[in-house]
Amino acid sequence: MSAGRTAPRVLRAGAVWLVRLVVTVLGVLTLLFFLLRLSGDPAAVLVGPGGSQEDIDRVRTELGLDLPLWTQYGTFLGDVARLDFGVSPHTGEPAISAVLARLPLTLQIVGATLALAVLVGVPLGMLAAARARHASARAVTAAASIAQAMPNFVLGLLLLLVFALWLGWLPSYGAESPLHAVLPTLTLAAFTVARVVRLVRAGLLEAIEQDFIRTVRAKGGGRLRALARHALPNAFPPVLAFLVVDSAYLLSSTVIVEQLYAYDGIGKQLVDAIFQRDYPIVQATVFVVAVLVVAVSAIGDVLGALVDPRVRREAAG
Amino acid sequence: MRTSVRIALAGSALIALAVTFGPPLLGLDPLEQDLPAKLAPPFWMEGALAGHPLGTDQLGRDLLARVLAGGRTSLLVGFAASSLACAVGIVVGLLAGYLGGWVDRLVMGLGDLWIAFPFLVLAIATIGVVGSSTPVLITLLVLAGWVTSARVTRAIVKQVRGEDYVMAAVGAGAGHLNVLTRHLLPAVAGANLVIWTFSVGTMVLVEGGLSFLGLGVRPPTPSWGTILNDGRELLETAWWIPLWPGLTLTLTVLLVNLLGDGLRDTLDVRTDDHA
Repeated sequence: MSAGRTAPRVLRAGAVWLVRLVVTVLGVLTLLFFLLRLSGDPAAVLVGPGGSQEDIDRVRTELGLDLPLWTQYGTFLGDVARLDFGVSPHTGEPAISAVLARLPLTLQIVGATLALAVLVGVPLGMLAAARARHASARAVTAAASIAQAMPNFVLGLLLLLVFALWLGWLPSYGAESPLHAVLPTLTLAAFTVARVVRLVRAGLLEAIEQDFIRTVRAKGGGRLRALARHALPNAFPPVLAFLVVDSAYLLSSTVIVEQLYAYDGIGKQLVDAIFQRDYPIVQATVFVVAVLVVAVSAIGDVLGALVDPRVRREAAG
Repeated sequence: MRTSVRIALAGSALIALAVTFGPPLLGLDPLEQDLPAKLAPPFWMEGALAGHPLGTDQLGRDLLARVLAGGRTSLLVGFAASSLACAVGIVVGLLAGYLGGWVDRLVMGLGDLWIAFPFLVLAIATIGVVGSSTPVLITLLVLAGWVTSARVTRAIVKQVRGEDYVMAAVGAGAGHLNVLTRHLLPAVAGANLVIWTFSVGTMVLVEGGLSFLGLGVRPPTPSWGTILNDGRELLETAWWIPLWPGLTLTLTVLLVNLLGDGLRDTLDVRTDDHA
């Protein structure tokens, strides 16, 4: 492929992703906007139960809630374009800064989970495939089935009870030190690692049956070598596709896991904001998550083209 | 049928029967409070009370009664949500696959965006606004769950609509509705049965998660998620409260997944779109 034709392709892919980003973010926020406006009077909520009718009217005028819905929607879109989601009524801080301040803690446990999926899941999956009839491989496969079935809030309570409350090895609540991220990460990672183990195992077992692996084996290549050098690259695309989809799922799961361990990421912040009716925070969180999801899909597409042996060969030849 | 599938089938049936008929047959009331008997441990521990084999919670409510009744709520929500989600998915998928054109592109484009979005975040935001109740919960689960079924249904319809028996029916003058219901619907039934089975497990999990956060089924109605939520604050003193719903929830999802795997192999259908 010539360099001259690569550039327009990259540009076109970029444009497609930009459209996707805008459609996703706009769609989700529009949905949320109308839900918020239809569900009751935000002014009354902000003033609280003790406020007088004058207070409510004042807040309503201040926030522009007395204007027609479409005018409000237009203003809302303008605000979104300037990343202005309003000010949290509880902290007085701009909502978007409050969410971005908590984001690193969430990214830390999601990133660690993805790293574990590759560094632990792939070798375990290889083990499960390489020694398919061996007891150790069966144990790995069975453990993966259980880890896939156990909900994160059940696993989380179990880990919390055993490692924090009974053994006292790890801190139970909070996010002050890296140690505080250990239990949330393990809770989050169990399902993802288990799924990667099963995908790698299935992919390798399928590849072993194929001609090119038989050829390697017939030429005297060991089973493990045949697996690692020749079968593994073919097992990567489904694993990558899963990890991209799973990233969105992980962002969902952080809501539960962070709440469970009182870990101060955006998941806990979202749940707290719901209970406090802090709508600016809710909107800013949904916005940040939507952007993240689209970004992860875009990264996944690029990586997918890089790891797929068929695509790579085409690019090289 | 493989042994694992038989076990899964028998196990799931047993759980469904136990949660449906258990409380009335055993005369158990999940809401009855008995404060002097609060926080009683399960039967093998010191201080266990006769009549409360699995122990009691912070209000002295019997945990056996609550776990059975909670399972009933969780499974009802799971069954209702997966059935509705599959029904919506089948209709949408049939139409998209059969009509093609812009309907197809619109539906599938929407599905792409939909499936990529972290559902729980959106669900929590929505529940925060409209409040939590069982109907709201089921609606959200259906909104989240229709895409898988729609995509797989559409893929199968695209594949079989050109086949001889469908063409023959069209040639013989069969109307659209006739072709859709008599010829295409049976072709997508197997795959949807598999999707439905897996989806029951997923829905029970999501319901559990939302109820665990206090955003799903409303107390005092027990569900596995709400009992887990009750047990969270008392984890150190009364770890048996979350133990039982945690065990039954995990076991149920494990059995349902096994059943789904078995059905997929037995019916030999592909549900690759299962994202």
